[in-house]
Amino acid sequence: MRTKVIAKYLGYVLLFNALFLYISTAISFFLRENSLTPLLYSAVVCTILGLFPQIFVEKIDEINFREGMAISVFGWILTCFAGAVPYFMWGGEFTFTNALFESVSGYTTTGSTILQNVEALTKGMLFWRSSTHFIGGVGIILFVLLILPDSKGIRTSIYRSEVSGLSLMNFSMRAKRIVRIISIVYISLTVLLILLLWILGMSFFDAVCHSFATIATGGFSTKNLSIAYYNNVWIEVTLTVFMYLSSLHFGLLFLTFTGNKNNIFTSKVIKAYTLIILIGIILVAVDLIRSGGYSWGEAFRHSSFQVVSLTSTTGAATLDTESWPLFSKIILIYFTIQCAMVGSTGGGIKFDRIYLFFMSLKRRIKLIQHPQGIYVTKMNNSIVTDELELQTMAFIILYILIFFVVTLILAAMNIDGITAFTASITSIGNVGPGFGKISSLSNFSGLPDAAKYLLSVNMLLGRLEILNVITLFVILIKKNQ
Amino acid sequence: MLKSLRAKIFSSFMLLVLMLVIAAIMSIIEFNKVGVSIKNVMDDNYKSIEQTKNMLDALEREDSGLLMYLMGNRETGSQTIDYAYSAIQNAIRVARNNITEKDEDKYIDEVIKEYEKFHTSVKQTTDASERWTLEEKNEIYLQNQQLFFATKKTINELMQLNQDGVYKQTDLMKENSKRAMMPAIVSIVAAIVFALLLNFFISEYFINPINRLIEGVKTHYPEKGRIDAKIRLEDEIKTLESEINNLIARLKVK
Repeated sequence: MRTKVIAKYLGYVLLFNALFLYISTAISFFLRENSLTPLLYSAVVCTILGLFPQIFVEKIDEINFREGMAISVFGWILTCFAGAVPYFMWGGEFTFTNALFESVSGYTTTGSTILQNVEALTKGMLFWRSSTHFIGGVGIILFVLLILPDSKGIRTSIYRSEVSGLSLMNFSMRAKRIVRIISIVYISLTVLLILLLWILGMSFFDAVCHSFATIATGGFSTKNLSIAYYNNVWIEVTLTVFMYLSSLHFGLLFLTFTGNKNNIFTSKVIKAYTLIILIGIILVAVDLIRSGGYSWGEAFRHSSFQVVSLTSTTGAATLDTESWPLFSKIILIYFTIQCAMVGSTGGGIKFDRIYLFFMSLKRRIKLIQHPQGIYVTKMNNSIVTDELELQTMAFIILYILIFFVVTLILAAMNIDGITAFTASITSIGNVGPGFGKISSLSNFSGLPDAAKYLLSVNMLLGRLEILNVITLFVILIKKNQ
Repeated sequence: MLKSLRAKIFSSFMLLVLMLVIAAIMSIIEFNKVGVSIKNVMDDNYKSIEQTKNMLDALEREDSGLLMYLMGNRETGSQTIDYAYSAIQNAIRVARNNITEKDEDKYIDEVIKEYEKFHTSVKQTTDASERWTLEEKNEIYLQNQQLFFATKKTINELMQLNQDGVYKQTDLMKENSKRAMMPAIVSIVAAIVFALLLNFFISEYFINPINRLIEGVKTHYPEKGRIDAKIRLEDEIKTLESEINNLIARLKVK
């Protein structure tokens, strides 16, 4: 692994962050806010540290897979630290721990916050906070790939280390084209949602911030009450539709809009995913009506928003689900575990893996019944290789193991059971809210610092899909030995 | 990427200098804000608090003047009332010209309104010039006392508003002084990262090629031909390698 190559690309990552920091600085400058110095100085530091490697390191013609993986993992870690600098410099509720937690939560599009009063932030800081979602949603590394000049093998190496193998099943194109498609879909959805929210009555600033948070499936809001602040059914319906769209495979969305046969209406996985969401909405709505206090309309309004919000890993809220009956809570916890689809901006186990798990299980049962038979696992009419199947199973096992260990450590920190359990699930799944002390309209400020660090690592592990991080560190340890 | 070593070193240090200069400018701006906050507290809020104290003092005097008047010391009483009236008007004028808090003018309007009621009542008493019985005097004094307390309450509210402003400014000062330190703290961390990176690049682009060149020269023998120190960049070290090879070639010719 060539350190100078990694340093060069990490420099690009910092420069990309600096771009959004300058935009936030401009907002603070025009509104004469006290966040001008923190934002501007953070932008300057990112620019200088980003430019520095470019002075020395020559043009790179090729990057191997290990270097690509290191750029991806270290790029995410570096970007989270860089993103915490403006928060830390601004002060207020942001201690170093809180600033880092907020930054990691923003970039990984988790959307969990330590802020008790979001509205105390300046517009510049709020924009920066939403920008971390926008940058992290599609992945900072992919953004960097988009602006890099094309060189043999560079995009492919970095891209394959950033995106899971499962999400590539729907693509039979070169990495360059895939990166472009993802970016086109991402930016188009964001622009469209900004316009719709603006028309529906949000201020332009709020519309931009909420669009960043929705399409990136993040969940940061500019209001303490999140979406509940607007109390507008049409805004909620629009956000529900866009949260759902953002939770689908971006490649399939693109193919749908371009009239390809392989689209979201023909995909069996998407059909199953949509069906499970609909069942979840109905079950929660019926449970809410049964428990009293909700009319049919209200029950479906809130259940559809909350179910889609959690399964898409957005985590935006229209009310505090902590007061909902236990049955509804359990269903919501299921969606926090299941999460969105591969190839989307969502995190977590991802529905495709659960689907593949059951397909694989079906194949195993058939093999037990007919040991001489030849069976294959298929997803959307494509044969899944044994290697990919094995990788998926390993991922699910690791995911559950990490979630269990983190819950255990949190419980050891004297955090109550439901808070520890849901904090662990929600952070590794990059969802946002949980239950107990961290419910949808609460925040993570009450947790001890050690828990915040642990959850930050958990969020990053979830965003980087666990295996990449473990593989990289195994490579680094072996190299040192 | 810059080609020459001189340009690389110069640009690196310029970047470092730029970062430190900007940090210094920002710290100065933030410390200046601390200074402005102190000025706000001392000049504005404290001035308003002083005036509310003057108002309270004058109000007490006016009340004493009324008491003196009712007790029979009419001349001194009237003089005290007139003096207090002028002192309150003066304090109100200064406070009105020194609005520092949101809605402070409304608080001052309320003080004026309540004080006008109290003063009118006092003046009606002194202008009447009647002989009252002890019970009547008590009755008059109690009526005025109610207006006196209402006025005092509005003045106290005005004072509280400015005191809250002082606390707010103090918090702001604390926040600004913390922010003034932040560029320095971030600069220290960034400078450490910068130094580590610089160390790595110097080793990668200066020391290692020179070491390879030294090794090449050390292990060179006439039959070997050229020295190849595997220097890929077109910088001064590459030129040195070429010149050494030229020298070897010239020596061979001789």
